[in-house]
Amino acid sequence: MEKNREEGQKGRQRKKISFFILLVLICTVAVIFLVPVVLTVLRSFYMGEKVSLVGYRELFLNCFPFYRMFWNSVLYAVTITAGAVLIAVPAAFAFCFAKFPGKHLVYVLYIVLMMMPLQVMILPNYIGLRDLGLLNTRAAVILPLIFSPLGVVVLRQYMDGTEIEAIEAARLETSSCLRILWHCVLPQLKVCICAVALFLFAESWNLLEQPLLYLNEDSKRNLSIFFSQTEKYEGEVLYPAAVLFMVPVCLWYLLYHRELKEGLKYH
Amino acid sequence: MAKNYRKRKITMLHWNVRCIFCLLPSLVGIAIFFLVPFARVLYYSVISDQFRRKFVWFDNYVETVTNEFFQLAMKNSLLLIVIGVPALILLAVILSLVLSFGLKKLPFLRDAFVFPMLVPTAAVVLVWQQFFRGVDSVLPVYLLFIWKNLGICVILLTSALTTLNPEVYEAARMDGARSFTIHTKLSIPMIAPTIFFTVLLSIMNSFRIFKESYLYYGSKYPPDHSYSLQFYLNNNFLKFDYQKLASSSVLTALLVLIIVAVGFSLQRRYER
Repeated sequence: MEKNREEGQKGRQRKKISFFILLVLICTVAVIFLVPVVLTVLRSFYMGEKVSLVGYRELFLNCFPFYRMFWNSVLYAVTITAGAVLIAVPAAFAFCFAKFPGKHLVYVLYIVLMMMPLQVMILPNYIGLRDLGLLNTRAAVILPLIFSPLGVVVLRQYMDGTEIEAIEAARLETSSCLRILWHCVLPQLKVCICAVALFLFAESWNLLEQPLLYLNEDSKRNLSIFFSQTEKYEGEVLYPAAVLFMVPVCLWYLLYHRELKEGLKYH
Repeated sequence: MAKNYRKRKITMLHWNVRCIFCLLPSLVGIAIFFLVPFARVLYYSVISDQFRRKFVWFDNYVETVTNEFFQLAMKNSLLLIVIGVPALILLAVILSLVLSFGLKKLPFLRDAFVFPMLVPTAAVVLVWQQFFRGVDSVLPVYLLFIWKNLGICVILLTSALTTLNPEVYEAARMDGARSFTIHTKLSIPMIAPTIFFTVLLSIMNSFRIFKESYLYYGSKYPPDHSYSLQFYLNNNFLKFDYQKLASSSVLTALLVLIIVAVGFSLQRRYER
């Protein structure tokens, strides 16, 4: 009896110790992962050794390309995210609930396209845009990305995993796809749509190759390009610019991190 | 009865047709921006040049494969797949196991690893440049790759781990199994399909390393060890050499296709 209790205590103690070791290890790794972001923020407030806001002042008052590129970033990210979600939701719905010959084949095509790296698709995209006469317009960046198959695949995976029961009943009531989509399917997809939107927003906020290759004027390019031409700008504006570049994604993350972590699943 | 059946069949048909209309915008867009142009790329890859358009079979492919820069780029891409991806997956698996079992009560720790996936690369690249100033190797770019891609792996793995049945673990613990054995013998095999998928996803993401190395090296030319396929393509883009571009695009597409096909068939075999 006595021995048993002792052993139990020992076990509990060992558990506690291992918990603390794990905690310390994970916290160290977590801190390492956050260092780049924290350092960027800290450095934006330093001029040499002193704390100052000179960088921000310079950026706001003397760095006009920044405004235009920031606005372009916002424009691209918002239109791409909105457009992609608007197109992906009905498409995923169709993949999930319709029966038509060749459906599986088309879906495999979507998966393959999703897996294709940008390097492969950039020349086909370029040729398509050239033939449509869209090169060097903002549409050249926006349109191909709106049709990216990623959202469709992720949403369909999620829809397959959730049981949408009301749909059979709803089909007796109405024959409109869009009404069923709106009333039965969307409420259950909210989490996944948020996750997909956040993911797409981050991806399109981080765009680099498309504006670089499809556009030839800096006035239409986005903020990523700003940081690839660091030699053009004065050193002190770079860190404040980087901080402002991070702000929108941080806000999004604070609002929707739970959806992001729950909405992306692989079945 | 028969009439009823026919009526139902017709409404089914209507339903399916309507659903296809929902799919249509996506299909049309994909055809216009991806499929049709890709067919043209295939055509470009087997002709001599834009003006004479002579059919030359595989000459462009031979030229691309024997090009030393293409070889260098391919070597670097494969190196990243062989070294960077396993490191990333190993880290992701260990972290997600610890986060969803050992430190279950502290879910906010996961955010530290998920958050970087959303931060634009361009914003942190300044810190990277300063930190790794004297380092002349691929290390900084690999670290940037891991930093950026760990988040999605952790999300997928932890959400797979939460679906596991806790009773199995209790039974194993009753039998006196240690946590290490439990996880290597139970958790990892049970989430193997998801691990497979994250490996595949990370391989695909490793082809996107261009963004990181382009930003890291600025408009300077990258050193040999960081020369990626995209640099090769970019240089040919500037020269408007469509034949070289087309043949290397098609080759890369084939490589990706093989990886995807092998990956999914391996997974299917495992599941059986």
